[in-house]
Amino acid sequence: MKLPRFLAVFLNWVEGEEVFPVPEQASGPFHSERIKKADPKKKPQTPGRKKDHSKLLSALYSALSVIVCLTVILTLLTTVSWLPRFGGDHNPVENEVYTRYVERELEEAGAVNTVAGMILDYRAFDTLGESNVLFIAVCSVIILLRADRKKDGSLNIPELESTPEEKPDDIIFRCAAMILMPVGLVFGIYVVLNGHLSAGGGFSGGAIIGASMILYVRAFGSEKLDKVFTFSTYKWITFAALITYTLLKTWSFYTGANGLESGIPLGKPGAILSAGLILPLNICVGLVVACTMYAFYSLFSKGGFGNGQ
Amino acid sequence: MTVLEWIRFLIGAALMLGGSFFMITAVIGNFRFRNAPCRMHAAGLGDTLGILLLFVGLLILCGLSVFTLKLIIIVLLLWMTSPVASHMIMRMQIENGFTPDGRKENKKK
Amino acid sequence: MNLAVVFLLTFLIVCAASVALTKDPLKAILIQMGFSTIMAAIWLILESPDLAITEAAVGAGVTGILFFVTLRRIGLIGGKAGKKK
Repeated sequence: MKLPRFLAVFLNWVEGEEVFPVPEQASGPFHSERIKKADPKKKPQTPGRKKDHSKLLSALYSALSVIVCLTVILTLLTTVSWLPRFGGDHNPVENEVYTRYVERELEEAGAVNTVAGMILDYRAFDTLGESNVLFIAVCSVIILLRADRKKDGSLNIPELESTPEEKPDDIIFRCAAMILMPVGLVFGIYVVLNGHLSAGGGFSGGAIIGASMILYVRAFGSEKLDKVFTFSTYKWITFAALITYTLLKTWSFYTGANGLESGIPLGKPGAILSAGLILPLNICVGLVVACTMYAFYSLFSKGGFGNGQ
Repeated sequence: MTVLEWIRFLIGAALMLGGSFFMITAVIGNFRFRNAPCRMHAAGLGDTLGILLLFVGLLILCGLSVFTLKLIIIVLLLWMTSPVASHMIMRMQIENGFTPDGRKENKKK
Repeated sequence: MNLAVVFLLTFLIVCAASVALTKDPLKAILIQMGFSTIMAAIWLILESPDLAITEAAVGAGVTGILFFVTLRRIGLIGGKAGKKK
């Protein structure tokens, strides 16, 4: 059977083949270099001494992987087949939790955005765990990738073949970044602060702020940001945000949660200062996420951030 | 009244059809052209002119409101970002030793 | 389910299979970013704009940047930019 042409082209593209038979000098930007680089690596794969064992092991390994994959797929498919049909008439969509969230959320949590009320009021400890996961991830990346310092204080980055070029000398890119970066920052702050009124919240707003910071660093270099955003700044911001989150939510749960009187005014639904604890919790999550995004980027690209220790 | 609405619908539909045409040419060009500058040109055309025509057509069809003002903001944002992205791609091409017509320079050092 | 969701879900499956089948890491990252964009559109259709914003910002934006930076560090893309210094 002959495949349709576009399908064949797409499959070729996915497989990494040359889509169209083109001469070598007209190929894509990365293609010809990669071929040259890949060739010498293939030579060291000479067969070792333990040939029989490795063959047996690899056969066992592939058989086991196939069995495990098939088991998982079968289990999931069986589970899915027992689920009720999507959008059916007799589905239990109207269970107690759903009804409670939809009906009582406005008076119990006070947020117009029901999703924000759910994740930051009813299930706030879940979100605390997610923020902690981000913090722990950055800690592991720091342990793995943080570069040492030389005696003169500069970062001791091993000279790889292609270290990412910091600060390209490009006036067009800089002008665009100069206009776009403040817009992105303001939009991110708006998304964080408006999380209980419209779609958004700490995670998305923090990601937007972090992306704006990455854009700034790519365009103008990280010297100025390094003076402000050091390891200790990162540590204290994240620590303060997580502790504030924990204490606020502990107070709320200690006084009973679940719509009981906790002394925190809920305010008028729809106002910016409303919804009790959701606004400060959103700010905490946004701070953690924004700092995490920037820390990830600078750790991956140059192995550290900040001037002081 | 109805004549005016018909005229509005026709203008909007024509603009949106033009926008769709440019988007389709962008996709086809992305897959058919042979080197990066040509592909970049096709993609940039779809990102600026196609999006502009589509969103102006939507604006005419829906009338001016807060939501359609957001469309204008999106167009401005894309006009800011997409040409800069094309410029950066071309810059990377030249830095990696390609001529602007997509051929590899054979410098012997 | 309307037609658009079915269409987008089909694209999603194609994208996921392509990411698994691709041998070139750069193309895999590009397809993964496309996957995230389609996923954001699906969240928007399923009436959860919160998730759509997060998916577009994190999945298509920041994750792609991190992967690109990592690939450049290990020297798989963009060979000569660092040598010029």
